[in-house]
Amino acid sequence: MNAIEIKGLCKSYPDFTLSDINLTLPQGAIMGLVGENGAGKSTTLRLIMNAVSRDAGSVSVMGVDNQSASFGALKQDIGVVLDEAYFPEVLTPSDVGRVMAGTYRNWDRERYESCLGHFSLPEKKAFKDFSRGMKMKLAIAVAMSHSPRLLILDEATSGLDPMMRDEILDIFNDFTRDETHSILLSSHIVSDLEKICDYIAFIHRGKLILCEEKDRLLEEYGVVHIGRGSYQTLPPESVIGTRETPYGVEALVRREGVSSVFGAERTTLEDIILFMAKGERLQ
Amino acid sequence: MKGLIIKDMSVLIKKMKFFFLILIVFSAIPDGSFLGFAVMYSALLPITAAAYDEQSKWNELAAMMPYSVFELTFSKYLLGYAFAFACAAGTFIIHSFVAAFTHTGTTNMALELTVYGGIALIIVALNIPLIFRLGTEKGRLAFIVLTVAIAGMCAGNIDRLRTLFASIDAGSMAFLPIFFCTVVLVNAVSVPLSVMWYKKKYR
Repeated sequence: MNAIEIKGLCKSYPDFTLSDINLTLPQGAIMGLVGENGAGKSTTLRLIMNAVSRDAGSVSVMGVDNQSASFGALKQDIGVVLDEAYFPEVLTPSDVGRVMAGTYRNWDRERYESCLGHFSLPEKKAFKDFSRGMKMKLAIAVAMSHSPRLLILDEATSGLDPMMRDEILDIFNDFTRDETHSILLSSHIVSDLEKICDYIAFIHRGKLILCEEKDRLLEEYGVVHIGRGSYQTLPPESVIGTRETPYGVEALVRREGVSSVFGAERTTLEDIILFMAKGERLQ
Repeated sequence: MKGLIIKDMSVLIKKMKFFFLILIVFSAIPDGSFLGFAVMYSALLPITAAAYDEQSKWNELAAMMPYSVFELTFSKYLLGYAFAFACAAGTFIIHSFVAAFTHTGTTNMALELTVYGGIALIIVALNIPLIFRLGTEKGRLAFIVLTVAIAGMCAGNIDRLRTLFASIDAGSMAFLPIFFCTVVLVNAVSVPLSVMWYKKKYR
């Protein structure tokens, strides 16, 4: 069973359109959703949770249509972290724990308290006095403490220092050791996604540009460093994007479409995303 | 829905200590003219709770949680009902306590408080849909206009009201079922309106 299955998802706002999103997150896997600000990542996550109504398409979460009556109950099994933690500012982590105990039937107080301790969050300090990093840690502690089977994380690691980010990525990795657990994670920090994700989905200006296994993506694409004069010898259908450097041209290519004489080098996820997003091609 | 009530109660208790003090003071004023003031004033609390939700963008987070739109809206009604009941009960206890010491009468007090409680529930039912339709700022403004209008009507007819309450005996309580039906009906119409406007605003 797939953790998330999206087909032909569309949503229009007066100034933005998300169109024809198709993606599948298999159970037990981590998918990274990447894209620039305003690309449609948060909208996609909200649509998955049926927090906003869709215009077209279908969304199924753990085999349940997200507009069916039973989806409300399924939300008990989904942990969510939004780009900001929207808890009332006067509440303390201890109060938040009481609210969540009244919300989630599988609320695990011990697990929550252990997370608070692990993240060094003071139980009696008001949320308004928290730094951004502390707020995100509290949101993560809440999301992890009701035995979720799926985590939906919107920029969950932003605002955290590199050490804490690394620790939290380890926690997410451990979470998916159970093969019934899955994560959909949006982030600007491509290096984080590269570290933990099995699948990468790239959204650009409201359209899904790619959704592939990360390893296959890194295998499939390579970067060629080539002189400007020799650029024309590259098969155009294999060139995804280019950029000019003082020494010539760098081109992102589909490895299988270019001869080995070009010496296509292994590239990074960040480069693939950047080349695709900019979409520049030398003529 | 339990989590939503705990959240609203926790926020209000922390933010509205002075307000609760005022409610207790009004509940304790021996002048009968103030008898229902605290009860009706408590109808303000669901609006305040909704304003804090809006400020913290709680509704965005709540949309991700296992709450239906009905639960998100009806919890505000429950909050209003609970505070109106608590204020009415508190006022009754305080006045009964004072009356026991001063040997003054408490004739019709329970009935008066019940009617004021009913009016508070009508105010709650009129205001909550307005909050979800207009937002808390405009909703609060609408509440003030409504409260001033109702208070003005009551103040203008206070003697008549007191005469009415004084003249009521066990045999002439026929208005009570009609009044209760009105309270229930107004709330029964109000809740689906709130659900509809909440969906329109946040979904």
